[in-house]
Amino acid sequence: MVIIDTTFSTIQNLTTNDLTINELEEILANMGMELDDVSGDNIKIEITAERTDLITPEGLARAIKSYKGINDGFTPIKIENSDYEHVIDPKVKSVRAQTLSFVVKNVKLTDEKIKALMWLQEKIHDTYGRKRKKVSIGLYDLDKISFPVKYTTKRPEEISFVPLGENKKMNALEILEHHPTGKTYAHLLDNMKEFPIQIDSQDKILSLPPIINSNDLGKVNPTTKNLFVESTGPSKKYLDSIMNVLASMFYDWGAKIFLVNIKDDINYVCPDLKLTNMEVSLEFANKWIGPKFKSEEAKIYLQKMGHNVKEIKDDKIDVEISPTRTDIWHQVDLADDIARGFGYNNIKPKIPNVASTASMLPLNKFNEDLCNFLVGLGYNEVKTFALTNHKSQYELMQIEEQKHIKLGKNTADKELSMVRSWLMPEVLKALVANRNRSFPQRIFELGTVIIPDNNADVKARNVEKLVCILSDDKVDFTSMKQTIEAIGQFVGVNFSVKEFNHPSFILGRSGKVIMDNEEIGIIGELHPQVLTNWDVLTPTTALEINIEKIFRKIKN
Amino acid sequence: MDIKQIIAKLHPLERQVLPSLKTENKLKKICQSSKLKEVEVMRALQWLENKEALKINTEKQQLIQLEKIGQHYKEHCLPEKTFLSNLNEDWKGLNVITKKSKLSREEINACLGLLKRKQAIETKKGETLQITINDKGKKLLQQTSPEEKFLQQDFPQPVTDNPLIKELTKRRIIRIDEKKTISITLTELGKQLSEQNLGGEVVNRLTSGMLKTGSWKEKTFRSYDVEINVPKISGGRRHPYNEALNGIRSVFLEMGFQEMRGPWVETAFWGMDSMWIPQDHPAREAQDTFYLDQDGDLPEKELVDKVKAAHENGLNTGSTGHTEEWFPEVASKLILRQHSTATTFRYLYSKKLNHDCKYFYIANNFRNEATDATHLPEFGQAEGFIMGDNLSLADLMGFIKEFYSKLGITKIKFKPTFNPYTEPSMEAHYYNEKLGKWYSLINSGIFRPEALAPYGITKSVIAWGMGSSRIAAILTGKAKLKDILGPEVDLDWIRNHKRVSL
Repeated sequence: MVIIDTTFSTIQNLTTNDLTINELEEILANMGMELDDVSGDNIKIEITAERTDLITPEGLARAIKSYKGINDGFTPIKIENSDYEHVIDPKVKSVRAQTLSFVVKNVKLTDEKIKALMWLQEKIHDTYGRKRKKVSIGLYDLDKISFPVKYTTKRPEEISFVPLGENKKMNALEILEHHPTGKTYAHLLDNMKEFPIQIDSQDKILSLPPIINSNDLGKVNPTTKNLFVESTGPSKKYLDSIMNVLASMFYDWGAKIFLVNIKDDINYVCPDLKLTNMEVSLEFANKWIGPKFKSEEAKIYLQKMGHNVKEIKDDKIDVEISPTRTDIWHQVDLADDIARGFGYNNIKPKIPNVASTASMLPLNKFNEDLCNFLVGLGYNEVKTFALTNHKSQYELMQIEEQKHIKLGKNTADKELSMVRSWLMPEVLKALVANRNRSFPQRIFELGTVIIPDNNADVKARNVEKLVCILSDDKVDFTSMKQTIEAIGQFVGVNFSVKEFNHPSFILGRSGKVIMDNEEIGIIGELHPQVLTNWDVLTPTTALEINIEKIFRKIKN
Repeated sequence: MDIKQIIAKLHPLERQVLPSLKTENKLKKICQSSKLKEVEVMRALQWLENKEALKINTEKQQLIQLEKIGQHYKEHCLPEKTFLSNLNEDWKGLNVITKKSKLSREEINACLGLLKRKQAIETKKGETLQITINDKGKKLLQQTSPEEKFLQQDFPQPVTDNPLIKELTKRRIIRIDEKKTISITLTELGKQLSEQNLGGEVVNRLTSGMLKTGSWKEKTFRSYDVEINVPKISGGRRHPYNEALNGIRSVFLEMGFQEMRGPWVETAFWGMDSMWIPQDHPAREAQDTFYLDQDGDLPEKELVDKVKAAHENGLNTGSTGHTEEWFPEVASKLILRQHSTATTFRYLYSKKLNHDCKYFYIANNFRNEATDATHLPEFGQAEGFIMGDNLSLADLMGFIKEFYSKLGITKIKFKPTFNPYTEPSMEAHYYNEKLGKWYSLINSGIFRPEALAPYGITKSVIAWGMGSSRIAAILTGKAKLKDILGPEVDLDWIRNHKRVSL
């Protein structure tokens, strides 16, 4: 999701003054956008990530005009020929493979427009540009540049220029180390022996992409008449769409757009306004969407969504797709645009005609029966979290660390470092949180823990566990042993308890729960030190058993 | 209420106490007269007070009690008298007096202070203190002192403003006790009741003995006050959140769905690549997804190759594909799954699904997010799909309407959205009447041909993931996720909540 900040009057000026805010809201919703916030004239519009073309108010206005039927489909922009050349040195291919550029003349810049440009540049960098990884854009005063411009690489210590916002020359290493933007994006040039640069024919450096532009050439102000616009990134396809979006915007501002000849291993031009043609089968679209549209209707809806319909032949609709649309991979995408043009809420829902027999997972059925049985024994069900930390799982329980699933270092919640490998500590948290509720407290949880497992493709597996806890002033081992025996009786399995000392429990008051010869869990009276660690103030007995082992046993 | 009805409901204790109330109004006297223990009388009196037959008055009174030593002084002699009687006109040393009088050290000190104040003795310093009696002292010895007079009274005595009380308290000869006196005042009803003939014996409890012998036939049973308030009880209860999830499950089962389950730890392959989420998708970044510092195994090469082709060139679907190189290393990374669609794609593959079927999964998923009242790094998702011939957007809408109407949610509108693996992609929003706002309920769509092609699926698949935590919040009427999920949920809410119903 990308949020566009603009004003309602801007949208009105670019579309029609009749447009009301309610109409705007409805059109946006039908197209798949959302009017997120309105305060006075300021509006926020949420667009989805694939629609690069909607990121400028001008692009948005084009879409609205098509949807309202003011325009049929899209109107291509006009590009002037030129001799401008931009040379790509093969050396950059292993560093940051691609650059594209075009020239803008007679642009009328105002402070407001420059602000809008800055905003747009940062928005593209952060969203479609994936924090400059896929796209970074630079704008320059055309009149200070001597063509041809060259996209090449140099050793960082040989790259020296005054970066934007500074007043002295710095070399590339100094920029990465000291300049705020340099520090933020330095990782994008990690492990590179040579850094990419844009440089003109008089060896003036335009920029160090994707980090920063030169202060001499890359500073734009209201007196700037003509612009050189370039972008760099790993993929030409991606840059093409962004350059088209920008060129369309400048064109809509009333400026003239001149192409630049890109000298790569083959030569091409930018902006590349080549239209994409795609056929959509009406029968296919109707099957995919539901209503039986006629081809004339489908044509109108496609035009409303900004496409040009070139020809309708029998079932096939030949569609011309604007070069600014990057979200059309397949004819399903055109089928969806027919649905959007028609309006989702105009489609009549129907019940899917697919017959099948319902079934609940046997393990879940077993779990549900067991939970309901425990409720009958007077236990209250709790539901705790799976993500936890080392301290809860091991330290407070007085046990040694075991193999477990660690989360990476980048957790947003610093309290979280692992997935629980046993359930009891997490259920104890519910006991702590409810210390001021009446006693006795009988609680249980049937929940999932994760155990490392090298035989699994994901090197781990889910295990369902049951924990019962009984906490009261007068509590004894007997009541918990009665519970485990009652469970055994309920599921039809014999459980026995074999004495076993476990550091979480009082010495001599804990044991393994054994099902035939298989160990399935632990039972005992929690150690006063463990209770103190958790700040639990009532004596507590607990048991934890592996439900899947029992389930497997009774299934056989 | 009719007085007869009241009499019928009287507890045996009340019946036993009532006759005494005709003549007695003090607790002690009532106890004596009714021959009951004080606690029993108090219980009966409280019940009668509840019936508005009487009013219990509690009076607090301060009473003077003699201390043990006070009793001794009363019976014998106050120490200052003993002290004086051991003096004469000659100077005598304190040690001699102490020995002769047999007074304790504290008593001697008290006497010295007191008698000096009363100017009854003369003292001078010597090797030990030298003391002699004067005329005033002699006179004092003859008279009965006010202290002696005071002590001659019967104790306990009510507290007055006599300054001696303070002094004697200080000398620990007497103490002041607070005493509660309980008395009752009969109301009109009480007077009537106390004068009534309460009839013969009434039985409080039916016993098994009575049943065996049949003696119950001759008994009259006391009526209970069935309208009286009783203490609350609560038994074991399921968690409201799980009650809500079970409600969701039952709707899926009613609609003919089969249940799935899958691992929480996933490879990026099953979590993302398997369904055509591009490898540079922002959701893959570490700030959104929990990455484990480990790699997992990819499935069979044949599938991996097809998925790679679907990403790079659209495989055989007619799609352009993402037109960027696909890397198996990226797909091998282990994550905590961010959506349960991972499990859907595991089922599509492992069960070789290409026939009419419906599946659902009530799952737990993870996102790398800081914890607060409305955001939890763990969240519930009810995942599902229907596979069939030519399933359309209209079918998807029909399913969503039907499903939510079973949960009581009927005001729904649809909105196009974008998901990398569905087209069309659609959200449904519901109108919350209470808050007067639209809320997102479900993200859904039709699986893209590029997502299905690697599995050889020729049928169409409509699929969705709905926020089951959101549904649980709606069904339980709670606004904050933290109030319905996690260890801090109020145990009393679990114990006493209204059953979660659809």
